[in-house]
Amino acid sequence: MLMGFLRRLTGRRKTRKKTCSPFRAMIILCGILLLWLPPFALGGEADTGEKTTVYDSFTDLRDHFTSYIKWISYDIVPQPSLSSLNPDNKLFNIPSNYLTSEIRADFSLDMDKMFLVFKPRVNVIWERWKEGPKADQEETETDSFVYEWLVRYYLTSDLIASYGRQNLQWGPAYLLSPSNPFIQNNGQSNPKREVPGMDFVTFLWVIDPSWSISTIINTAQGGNKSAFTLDVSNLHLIGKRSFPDTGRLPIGEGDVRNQLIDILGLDTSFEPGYAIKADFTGFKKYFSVIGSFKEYDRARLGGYGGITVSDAMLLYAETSYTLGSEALYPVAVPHFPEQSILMKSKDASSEPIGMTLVGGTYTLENGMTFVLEGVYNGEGYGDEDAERYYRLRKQAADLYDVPYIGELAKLVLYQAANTRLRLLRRHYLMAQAYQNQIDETLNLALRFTYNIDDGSSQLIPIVEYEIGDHIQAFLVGQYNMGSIDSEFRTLFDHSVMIGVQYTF
Amino acid sequence: MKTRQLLNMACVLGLCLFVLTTCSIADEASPKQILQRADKARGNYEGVKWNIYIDSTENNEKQERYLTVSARGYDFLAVLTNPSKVKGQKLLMVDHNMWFMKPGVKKPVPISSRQKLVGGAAYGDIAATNYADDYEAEVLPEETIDGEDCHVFRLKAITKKATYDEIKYWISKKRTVGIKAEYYTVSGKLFKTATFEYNHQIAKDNPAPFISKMTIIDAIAPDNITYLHYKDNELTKIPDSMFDVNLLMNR
Repeated sequence: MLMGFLRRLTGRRKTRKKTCSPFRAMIILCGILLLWLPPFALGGEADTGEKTTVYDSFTDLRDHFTSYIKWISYDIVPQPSLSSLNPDNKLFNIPSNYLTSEIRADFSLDMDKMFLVFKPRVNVIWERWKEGPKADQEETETDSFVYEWLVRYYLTSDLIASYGRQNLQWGPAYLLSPSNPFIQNNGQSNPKREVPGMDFVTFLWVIDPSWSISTIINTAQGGNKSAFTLDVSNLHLIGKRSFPDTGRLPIGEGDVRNQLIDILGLDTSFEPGYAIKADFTGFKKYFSVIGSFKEYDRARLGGYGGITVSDAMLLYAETSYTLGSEALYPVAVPHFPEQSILMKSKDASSEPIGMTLVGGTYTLENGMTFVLEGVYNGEGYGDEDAERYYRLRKQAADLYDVPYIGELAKLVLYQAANTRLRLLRRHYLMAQAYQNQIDETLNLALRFTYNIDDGSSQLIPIVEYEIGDHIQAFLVGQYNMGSIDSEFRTLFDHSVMIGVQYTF
Repeated sequence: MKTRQLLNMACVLGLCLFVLTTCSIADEASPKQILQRADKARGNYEGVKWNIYIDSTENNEKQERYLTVSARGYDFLAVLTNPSKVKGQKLLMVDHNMWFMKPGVKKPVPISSRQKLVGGAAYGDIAATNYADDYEAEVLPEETIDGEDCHVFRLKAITKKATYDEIKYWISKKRTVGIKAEYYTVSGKLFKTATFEYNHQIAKDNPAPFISKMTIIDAIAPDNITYLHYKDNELTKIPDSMFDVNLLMNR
């Protein structure tokens, strides 16, 4: 009952129409201001004993209260690619301009036994389209939701229970975190867009300064509804996707229908997940082992670790393995070997399949840091799979507007966008250089990711410039190179995000 | 009567002997004992919380940082609270593994200790010191610093945990607190000098001097000066969970 109430309280609205959202947004905005206002602004000068008590209680609470409030506005100007996954921008409806202004408030209350977090968000989004079904249209929306919230209770100083919506991240890797079975995108490529959180119940037992054990239960999807394959390689993933409603597809009846939906990977609904994580921290080294499983899915074993080689150099690795795979693979159609269908062909396999990332960082005396990472994605497509995958996508794109068959084409493209692979192919290299606080004003980062298998690559520059102590101007770019049907040019040729933020 | 006088004299003599012996023992405290006492004035307790204001001038540019630090030995959790552009950034050091997190980055990133905090301040400077255990002390001739007689030690790192390879350390004979240090590289090159002030008292039952200010001067560019002002010092037992990286995201 409590969980249901909390879900209702914090749940992101499914309907994001502007008709009622402004009122809700105003309520949250007022709440933010009330929480942020200094106590004297609320109670005035306390002069009676009773008022003083209330005032003291409030100031006592306020001593344990922390708030970070930020206003951020940015404009994303993307150039959608002409790839077969998004024919004429009809499937993803990527706008030509995406302007947003958002209030991000992070509140926390740290008491002796309890720690509370509440992070409401209010935003206004304006979009304009040049291509696709919404060509020459504009839309304005307001939205309000709770990005993260958390109740943490210290049963003892070293036994801690918590429940809430969190962007639960771990691991040392920059490109992606293979050891995290819950959240695919680690958000490292774009510091300005928030990775949606999911609902977790966790218990942490800190055994001693070196060892701790966590149990993690993923109870609900929360705000994390992004596609499986695309969010890692597309940091500006925006648009109003015209995905088919797979729950209403006329494919078979009863059990046959359910089996078909399952084997074709059309059911992307949430599955609760469970994990046990053991962490060790020793002198200049650390590692973690994570065992996890999701309901109706297989168990997964992952882990990460790192060592400090010198005061300048760190080395680390992350991995995750499972028997078989939930991913969709292109399989030749019987009697039509040139034709393929995407299905969970390795669902029943007992072959260990997984992803391993190794990396290292080196920091110069001036603080400039270089990062190099290599990824082996055993779950990804080999050359033959990739050829079939792109051919299937192309065929589906060609049939997209054909009556009736077009619906099937949409279904295939929906599958192609939700292959359940974090990265499509097998071998990747990532190099990054960054330096913060150059002359106290400038943060710079440049990331280059190379798909060794298909030769496509992605360049991401991130520039943050401090104008005084409160204002920051920023730019996050994305420039994708490679053939038109390659992984990094799947959705965007390039895009630029430019904006400004004010920290109160 | 004579016997009583003799007994009185024996008592006085005994008392004198006791006082002399005690003074002699205090005088002859081993370098390790002296370092232990000096460490205590710089936070080597079961745990200490303090607010640090760092004021640095480097190449004529002034930088400021406010941090709230929970430290236990070399381990610490530091939260930057001001200026606004760094507000909410966190640094966690556990057994010489360091993680950095800033709002927006979404997860703690392991960083090397070569990353600068600000100005001439190293990460080790916001944690407590444990020179007594991590360095071997060579006794040098005593010196006077600002009119205060000092023990002088050349400290050479004997554990990998030590932040610096070699330190020349001046400890006040009267107050048993470190008042000056010179830090050297492995090759024996001086790279920074620090002086310390102890205007705080800590431990209500048995008040003892506690660090209030550290001044760091760059050896190559003496105009580059960094001041660390330690405020609101509070001795407190800090639980292991304070340094658990799993809790860093929402703390």
